[in-house]
Amino acid sequence: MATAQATKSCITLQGSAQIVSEYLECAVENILFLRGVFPDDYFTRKRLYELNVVTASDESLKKYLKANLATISSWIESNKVERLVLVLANSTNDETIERWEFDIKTDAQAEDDEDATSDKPLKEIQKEIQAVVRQITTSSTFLPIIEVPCSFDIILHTKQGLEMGNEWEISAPKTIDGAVEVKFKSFDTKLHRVETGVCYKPSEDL
Amino acid sequence: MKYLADDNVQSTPTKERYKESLTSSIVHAKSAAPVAPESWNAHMRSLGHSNSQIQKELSRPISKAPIRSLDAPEAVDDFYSHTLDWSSKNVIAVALGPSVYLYNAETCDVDSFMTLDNGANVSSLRWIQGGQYLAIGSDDSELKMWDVKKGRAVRSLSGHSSKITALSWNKYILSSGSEEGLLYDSDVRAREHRVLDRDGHSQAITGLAWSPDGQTLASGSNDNTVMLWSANNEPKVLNEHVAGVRALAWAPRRNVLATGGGNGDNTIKIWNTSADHHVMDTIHTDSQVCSLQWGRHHDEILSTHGYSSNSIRLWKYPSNIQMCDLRSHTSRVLHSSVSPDGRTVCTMGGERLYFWDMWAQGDSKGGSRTLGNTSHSNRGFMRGLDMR
Repeated sequence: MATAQATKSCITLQGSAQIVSEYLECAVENILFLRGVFPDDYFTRKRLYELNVVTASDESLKKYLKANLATISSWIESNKVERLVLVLANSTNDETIERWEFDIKTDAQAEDDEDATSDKPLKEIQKEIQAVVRQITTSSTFLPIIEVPCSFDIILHTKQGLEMGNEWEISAPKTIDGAVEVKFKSFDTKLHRVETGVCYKPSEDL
Repeated sequence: MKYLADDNVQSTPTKERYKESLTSSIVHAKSAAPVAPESWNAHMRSLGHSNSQIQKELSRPISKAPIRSLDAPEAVDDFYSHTLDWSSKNVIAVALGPSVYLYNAETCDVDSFMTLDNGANVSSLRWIQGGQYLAIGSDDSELKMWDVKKGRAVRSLSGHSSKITALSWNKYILSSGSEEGLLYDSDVRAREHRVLDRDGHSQAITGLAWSPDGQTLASGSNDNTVMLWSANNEPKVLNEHVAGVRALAWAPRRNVLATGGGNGDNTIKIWNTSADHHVMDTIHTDSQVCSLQWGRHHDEILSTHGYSSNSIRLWKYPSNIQMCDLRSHTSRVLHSSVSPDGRTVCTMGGERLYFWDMWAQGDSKGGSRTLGNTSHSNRGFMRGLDMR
């Protein structure tokens, strides 16, 4: 199996974690834009996964996301993150109104073996990611319109034994009662599998 | 909130939270995330309810529990059969082994309609579009047209020499397929009923569906292909599935067909079936696709699955977002059928039938409801008993 070509397109555990982190960063930024958490001028357009997506351009937002997502990325590499949740809350009363859940499942073999690799072509993985991102960007066709100012938070479900450092603390779960849950497509690098979904409270006047 | 932890295991919310508290922590960054400027917040507050009507339609809640259930004792779990059909007169025909029962969805009356007395089982049944006749095929290759009012067979449509595995009506034409892959049309008005043989499939016919405009017959087979038959009888071959195709559903819009692959394929493919036929999209699922239904007034596809989730899923079209995942059945959900008003779906898996209020209309017309009001929630089909 170890032909020259196979070695060239091999993805390491670190590489796979990077693919996952890049997706999470893209998903978080685009959800914040799509759901109207920040004004449009906080973002600029860019091309990723052969799609037109946005990225944060406002300095404070950019700084916050970069810093936290870098930490999260290193924790994904050490297989400590099970789930990342982007929580959108009503900033007036802190009520959670929407949860974007990203489940990260590490391949059983990769959990024990740091040298584990995947021979899945990068192009194929990117195609899968493209499909999910497409679904996210079109999800506004069914998600309830948000008519209140929102705040966001990124919470992680981590495995025990994670050295959090000073910048992180225990968080409340911030769940929604009576939520509707919608599952999007998933993608798989063969080392990590990421499942995306959104939970929201259906409109009250239904 | 439903949360799928592993492939097919579904945990309850409390179990999940307990598990989470044992094995994982929930953390977040200490410093609060940036917030939008007040001008933006004011703008958000000022958003009106202008789109609320459309939003209601698109973010409608889907009832996660069936509205009615029926026992179907001794129903045969056979992939190569179609034993459930809902007529335009609101009567559901169900085959349980050698017997066919009729369930009046309005009055909730159950009638034992007919029983094969030669040891064979009913393998396929389909209502004619007007609901007066029921085509019944059996696993000993017999195919007959039954008059429901008279309660007896009025035509015997011979020609098959193996189990009748699929049927589809197009006005007075009945297309029938068998386990050997034989597929032909019968004109039930003509003395010589067998009017058109359709040669193409090399293995068992697993599904048949005439398009809503009556122009194209789609046939699915165990040879992994779907063929589209038009007037000239030269089929277009749709060859993208890697397992037998049993589930077929034409969209209400023209030239769009959904097909579902069996065990090992597990995909739903949406096809453009016009001149340059091609797959427009593929939905990957984790289980064998047993049946498909298109929403008549909703751009949604319902799929029922067998191995291994035994689930019922609803997909938004064309975004292919999964809107729900219903796990009430404990066996393969082989069969599904939709009520004449397009609102209620009946699913059959193992020895159980469930009814789902899947596609209620936004502005309900009041008037007649598909399912009659009844307090009988556990009615069943009793063998050998005349329920009238």
